[in-house]
Amino acid sequence: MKKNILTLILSTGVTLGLIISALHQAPCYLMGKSTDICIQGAGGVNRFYFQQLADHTFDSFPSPCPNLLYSNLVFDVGKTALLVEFPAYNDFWINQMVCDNTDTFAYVGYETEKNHPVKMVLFSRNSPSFNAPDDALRIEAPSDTGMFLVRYLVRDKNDLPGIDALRRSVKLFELK
Amino acid sequence: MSRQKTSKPEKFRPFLMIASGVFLAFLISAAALIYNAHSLSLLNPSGWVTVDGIGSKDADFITRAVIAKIGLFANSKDKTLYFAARIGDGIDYKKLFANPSHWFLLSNEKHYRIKGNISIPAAWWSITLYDANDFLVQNPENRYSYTNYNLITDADGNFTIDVAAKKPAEAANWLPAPLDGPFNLRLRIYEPSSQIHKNITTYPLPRVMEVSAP
Repeated sequence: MKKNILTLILSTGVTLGLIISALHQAPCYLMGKSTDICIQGAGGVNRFYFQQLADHTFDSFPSPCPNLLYSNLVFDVGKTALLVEFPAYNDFWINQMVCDNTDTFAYVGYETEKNHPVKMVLFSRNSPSFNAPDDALRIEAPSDTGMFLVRYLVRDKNDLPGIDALRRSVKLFELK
Repeated sequence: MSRQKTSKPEKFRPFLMIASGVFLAFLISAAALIYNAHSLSLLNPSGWVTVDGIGSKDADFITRAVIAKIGLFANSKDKTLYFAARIGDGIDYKKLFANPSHWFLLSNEKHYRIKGNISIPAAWWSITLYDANDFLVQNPENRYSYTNYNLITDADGNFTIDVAAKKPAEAANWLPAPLDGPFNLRLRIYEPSSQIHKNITTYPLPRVMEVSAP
């Protein structure tokens, strides 16, 4: 009898542990799939992957917003800090910065910067020392790797070429 | 020395106990998921529901897993509020384990209408239609969403969006539903003013309703 109860408790515990572990890992697993797409599309880390404006053919990730043009970047600042220069854009844009466990750790965008260009330096505690411009925002990432998700609002499809050119004019420098 | 022979049911008892344990664990997980869905759902009387903790690093692991499945990299609620349309009395528990977004599926055989005013205090907002797998739906007008800046409104900013698989004759704003299956509707409010995200369950959002079966 005792042995049976012990078996029941153990099997319940082990299964619960596996379920909890799977749920804990789910966001990172799904993020891994996204980062793979991004790295393949960009040709490596610390480079932007320029997505098309989502339509019915888009299946890279669920619930895409068809009004936002995305540029994604997988960063790795363990060996080099990154200087990023965003040009001014007089409409809604936002750069969401996400660390390796999918938590958002910082934002820059129209809400904070209005119609001004933005310089930012991204680094982690493992980044080698660097010299950054005085006017650059300094943002410390909680992990060496993570993602930028830059979104630009497209109000009219006729504006698409201009917004596409704007997002491709974002400058990236590795501060080695 | 006599050797006691184990009877067949006795032999299988450990396996039965293990199977019962696994079943019990899934039962506990199901209860936790239902509790989580209930306790964190914030229902707006206009027919939209959101989950407290979307985009927050303080969200519990169940919420994080669910949000990652539906909308990985969701913004925090001061940047974006995400809602799903919910018509009916409650969550369909049979659908809980298939896909979190299946909780809020609408029928493509019905006609829905969204009525409201474009003046939601936010940078901008949108209503987007997705299929049951959370992807955009092919349609003859390439219309996937409406936003506050592309809706046809009256002089006071009031609008009506018709959501149906076939375009209703009188529709000024038609959001095409899929011909071949259920769908869901999402409302996103970008950079919402504090008066919305502090009053999520009471703020008068565009009202979503079922018109009739065709």
